[in-house]
Amino acid sequence: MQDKPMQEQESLALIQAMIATAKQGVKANGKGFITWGWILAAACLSTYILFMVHFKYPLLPWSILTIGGIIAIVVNIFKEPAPGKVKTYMDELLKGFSTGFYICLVIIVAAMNLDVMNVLTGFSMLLMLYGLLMYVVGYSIKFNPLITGAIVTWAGCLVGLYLKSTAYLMLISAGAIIVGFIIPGYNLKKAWKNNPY
Amino acid sequence: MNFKDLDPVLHSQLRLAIMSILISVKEAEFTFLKEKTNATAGNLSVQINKLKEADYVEVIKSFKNNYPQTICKITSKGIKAFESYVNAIQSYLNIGK
Repeated sequence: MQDKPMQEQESLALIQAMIATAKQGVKANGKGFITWGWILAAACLSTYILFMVHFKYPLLPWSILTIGGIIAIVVNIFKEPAPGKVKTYMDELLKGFSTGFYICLVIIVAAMNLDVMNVLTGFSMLLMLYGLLMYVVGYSIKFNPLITGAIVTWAGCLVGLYLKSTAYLMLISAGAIIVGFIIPGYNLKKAWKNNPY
Repeated sequence: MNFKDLDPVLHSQLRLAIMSILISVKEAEFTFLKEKTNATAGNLSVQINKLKEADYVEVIKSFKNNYPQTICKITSKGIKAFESYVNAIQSYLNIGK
């Protein structure tokens, strides 16, 4: 591009082209979805196994995850932003939203640990929240696999509300997380590699 | 209105391109601007300095992984100037119809 004067039509066309080019690209790289997805799926499956072997504290994996969640909130609030060539207002909004998401997560898990919330309802609420996170991220970056993942996760939430067995809810949750969370995460990672900021 | 009334700082292809990118993001690295405008580093640097002298952009120089990093942000004065420029262009085009 040269530094030359323009006609009025050229000016408007240039403004539109540059604004469009700045908005292109996928900022989210899917790593968070993949990492947390596998952690949550492992927690669900290990809880299911602990129920099956009649372990005294079958929800132990979730108590450990509560501590992990609190650490994640603190890290998310105070960490330096990941290096990138550009920072958009959408990035700021999503950062604030994900912090709020983690806080909601910890409140629900803590409520279950303190026996003020039914475990079956609590886990269904967690699936609902994951669906919300995926829907908001998917909608904001216009990435349909995440929106589809959100719908799968919400379906898991609805099924969970009708279940009477926590063990089976763990299996449903693991399935919903793998189909609705981990697979879209890998899709997002692939899309980011092809078109990063 | 007269075409000469347009802000001379903005009425140049590369400076307008830089401002158009910066108005749609919170901040951008020099390398991002170079990639999107297809300008040479030297020319881009000169034009960014002109925008900086007009207080239209803020330039933050730092180091990332031991390499110098230049981050550009549009200022509130820059936003007002950009809006006035777009309004002026639109008025001009409407008069010409």
